[in-house]
Amino acid sequence: MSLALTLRLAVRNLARALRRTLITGAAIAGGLTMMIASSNLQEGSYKAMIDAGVSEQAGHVVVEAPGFRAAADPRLAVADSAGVAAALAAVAPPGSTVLRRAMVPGLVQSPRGSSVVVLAGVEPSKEAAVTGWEQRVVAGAFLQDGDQRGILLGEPLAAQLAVGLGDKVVLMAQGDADIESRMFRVVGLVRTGADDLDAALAMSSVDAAMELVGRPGAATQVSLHLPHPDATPSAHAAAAAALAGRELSVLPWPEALPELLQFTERDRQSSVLMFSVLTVIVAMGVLNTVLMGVMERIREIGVMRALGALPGLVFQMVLWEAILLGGVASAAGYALGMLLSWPFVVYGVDYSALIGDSMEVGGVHISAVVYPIFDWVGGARFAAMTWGLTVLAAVWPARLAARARPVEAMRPV
Amino acid sequence: MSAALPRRGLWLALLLAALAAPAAGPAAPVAAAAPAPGRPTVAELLNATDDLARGASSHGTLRMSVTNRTGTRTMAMEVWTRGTDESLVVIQEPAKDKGVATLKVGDNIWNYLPKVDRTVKVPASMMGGSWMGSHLTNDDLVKSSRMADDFTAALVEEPTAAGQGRWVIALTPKPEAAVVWGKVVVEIRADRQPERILYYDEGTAGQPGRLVRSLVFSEVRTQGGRTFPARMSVIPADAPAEKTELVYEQMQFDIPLPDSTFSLQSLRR
Amino acid sequence: MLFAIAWRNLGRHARRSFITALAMAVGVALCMGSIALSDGIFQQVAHVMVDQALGHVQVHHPDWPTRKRAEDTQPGAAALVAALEGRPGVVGVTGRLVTAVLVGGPSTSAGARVLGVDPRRESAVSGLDRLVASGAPLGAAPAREVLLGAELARSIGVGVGDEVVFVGQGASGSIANDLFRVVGLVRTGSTLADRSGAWVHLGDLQAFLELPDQVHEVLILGTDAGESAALRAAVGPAVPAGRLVRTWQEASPVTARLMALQDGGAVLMLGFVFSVAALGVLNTMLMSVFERTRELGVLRAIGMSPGRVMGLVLAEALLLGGLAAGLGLVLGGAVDAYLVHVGIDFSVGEGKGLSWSGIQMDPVIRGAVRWQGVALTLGAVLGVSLLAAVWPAWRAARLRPVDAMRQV
Repeated sequence: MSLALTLRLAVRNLARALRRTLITGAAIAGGLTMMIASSNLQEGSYKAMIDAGVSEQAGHVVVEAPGFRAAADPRLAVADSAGVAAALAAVAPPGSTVLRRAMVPGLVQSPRGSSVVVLAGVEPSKEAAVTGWEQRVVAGAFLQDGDQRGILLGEPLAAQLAVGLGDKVVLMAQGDADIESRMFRVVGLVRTGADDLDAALAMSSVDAAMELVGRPGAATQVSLHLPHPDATPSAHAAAAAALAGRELSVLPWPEALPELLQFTERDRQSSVLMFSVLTVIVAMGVLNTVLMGVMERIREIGVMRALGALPGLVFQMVLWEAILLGGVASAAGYALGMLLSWPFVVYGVDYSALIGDSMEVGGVHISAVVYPIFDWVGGARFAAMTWGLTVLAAVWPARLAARARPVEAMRPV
Repeated sequence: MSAALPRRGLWLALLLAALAAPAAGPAAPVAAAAPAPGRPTVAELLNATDDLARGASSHGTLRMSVTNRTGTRTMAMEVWTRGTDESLVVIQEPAKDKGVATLKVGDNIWNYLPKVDRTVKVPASMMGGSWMGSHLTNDDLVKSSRMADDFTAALVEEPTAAGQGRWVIALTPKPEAAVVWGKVVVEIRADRQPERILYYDEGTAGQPGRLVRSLVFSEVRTQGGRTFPARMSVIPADAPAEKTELVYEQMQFDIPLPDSTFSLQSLRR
Repeated sequence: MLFAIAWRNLGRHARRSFITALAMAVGVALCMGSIALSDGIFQQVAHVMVDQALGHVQVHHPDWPTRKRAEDTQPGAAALVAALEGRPGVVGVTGRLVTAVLVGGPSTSAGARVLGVDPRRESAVSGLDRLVASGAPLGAAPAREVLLGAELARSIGVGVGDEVVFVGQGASGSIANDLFRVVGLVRTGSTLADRSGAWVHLGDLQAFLELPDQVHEVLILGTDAGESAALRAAVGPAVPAGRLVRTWQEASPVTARLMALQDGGAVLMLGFVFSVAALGVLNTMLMSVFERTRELGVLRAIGMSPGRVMGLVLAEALLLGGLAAGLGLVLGGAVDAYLVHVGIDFSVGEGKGLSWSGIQMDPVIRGAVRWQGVALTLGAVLGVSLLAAVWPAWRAARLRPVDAMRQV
């Protein structure tokens, strides 16, 4: 018997038991919709976390002096940082940004107090374009390009020092031989939400920070920020080649931030596990309904067999019912899942009622509004898995149906 | 009237006396010569001990008493200084702390601790900490040698021709000086002895700067051939019941001191 | 009587009933497992963020939390700790002295934040012993031993077995200085602590700072972080007047918020799992009832009232749900047992676990079972079964027998 006939039988059977078809299909599609919507949200939060971590702590490609990472000594800096930045910019894809940064541990003094800080040096407008520092300013304004005397202080730090906007502070840090000082004026106060960090947070221009330790023109880190993380491997290779012979450490972000990658991978793995189990549950429901359907039609099947239909045909027919039902339901679930995600992709999911403005996971700050993303490929994988399990669930009932003996099947119930 | 400051001048010495107890010796302000005829300029006023500050050295004893919430404590120390860059302080009393020494060379400070026979360099992060439990910080000790570059002076008041009243000089930090103060006011008696030094913050939005601490000089005597205030008190404005007092005793000036005096190796003797 | 019929009906379609129940039972097991895992994670987060970092109740000099001045101490520390340990509900008490000192290595020195602790008591409350990455923990008696944060040790160029000099300020104003021997290096997972943290015996630090029998902080641990207010009431009588006694929520509102977030996030996740599982249950129940339309029609034809038909359907659903619950309990119990005893390995290399909000978790996460979670799940499956049966039951009640029997 031809495939066309088998298919027609399968379709007709599905149509005849419409309510059952629809209910089962709805169950499959419903489960898949929820899984896809939830997976989109999760992928969105991973992306936010990776973007935030990569942009704030490093870059997609990170250039530092060898040994800086281990010693955290700002005097181990990338000399001629402007030259390095230019070299990176030359090999970077369009839409990239190159940032020069400094990290200088020291002491901040005011007329009434002093406190240990880590002075972060940045290129203001470029930094604001890549990271969210501008949004963290709670008083005054963010740093301006060219301002070598402006400084931002964490809010609690400013309170402890009894200084406010416009006041003078003096920063001290260890230079090559002596302890060096430099005067700054407070132009803004920031709050990241992490009390520990805010109590020791100061930010100025990168050049001012490096002048303090006697390394003008240097930077403790030069980083390349790409428009798409996928370009990292090729950008890294190009950067390493462009900077070969300069005795610098050039790292791609998975090496610079291994914990971040591991966190997302682990979390993703456990989610996939959970989704699989959920799909199995749905599949078991499918098994049940297909089985019931077969049992209900056992007389009809008996008649078919009595008329000469081969067991193989019966098997295929039942299986095709599942294939078609599963296929359509999976496609519907995929579409609905993406559709359900759509408004949130645009407007985001706002967790701030629960957690305030931002939170810290895996060492990275992410905002409380999370935007799901359309994970087309991942969603397709879920849909395929659901479809496959649905068909698998139908195998046993199909075999039962195929092995039914016509005489027994036709016996009245 | 504003005046440019001499390179290393009296005012430097004045501030040394004010801000750096151990370095107060040789650079103590002094009416070395008779007042110049007519009204001295600020520069001359602050210049008067320029000769003294240049290459001067000193050796003597210092008694410091610190009064704070927990009570009053007194220490006796032996002090050597050379110029404004080098100074050595060794504690003699109380017996518990005898032998503890602080060496300052340029902008660096080391502490020697006899009980453990170790020398420790004070890192940047500890510069804000108090020196020997007093109201002076480690940073106060090093800042003095760079003050010259950091201020401009203006004469606010001067004594009458009859010698009544006093000089009041307002020192304003230069725009980019690494100085936390908004203003430092120096008051000098008609006989050229310093009387008070007042430290103000910058003030905010229209409000004038508030007093943060005062240095008060008293007990002008002659020691080692020089006349200067023997007692200096450091008084925090927010806690006027607290103070640190330094009294100079048995000072000798312009004595030859071997270089090894101010070396880490000799710290340990 | 109705249930007898219902039971027999289920038996007549034994295989179908069994598969339905099994499908639902797997859902139950999954939900039980998810709850156990989620509770396990929450417990671990709570353990690290609350128990170890804050204790459940804290006692301080009233000014200390805001100004953190060295002189704001609590005298009579030993007696206070002993008295607190005797209070009902107290699991552990530890007193600490906190100060900033200069720590000097052979050629470099750095500022450090030193905690003077009673090693045994401290480990019982905050697990200090477990954070020792190399070397050994502090000995039980004061012996001028010190644990240094790993980064601090590296920055001053010392390792286990080396001597460092501590320079600080004694209570009388004199320069406190002494030599300490590094017995171990600590990794807390918090960069700040690793770069500037040091731990010594409380007795040593009290002698160093000339603060005999004094502490700054007293941390009290009870049995349940959620019962901190009750614990505070219980320890009250042992605390001298004038001290500041706070629950951990009052001491760190940020942590309290984070714990609420953790809880909220877990509830969301469980809701999701329950929903999908419920969908599966709904599906199977619906189908199993709809398929029996003919049977039900026969019952109506022989005179069973609509009400009773409906009742029959619901009874079957309840029984089936109960069967599923029972099966699910067995399956779920096995899953929970595995999670509680073996757990799931989330390690990210170097034997470390994930870090979340600045805290380091254990690499292996174990489940925690509470009867409320189990009851919730079983209740849910019964509820969903009933719910699923309502529509078909109502339809069955309204059937015209003739139409029903005509169905094939």
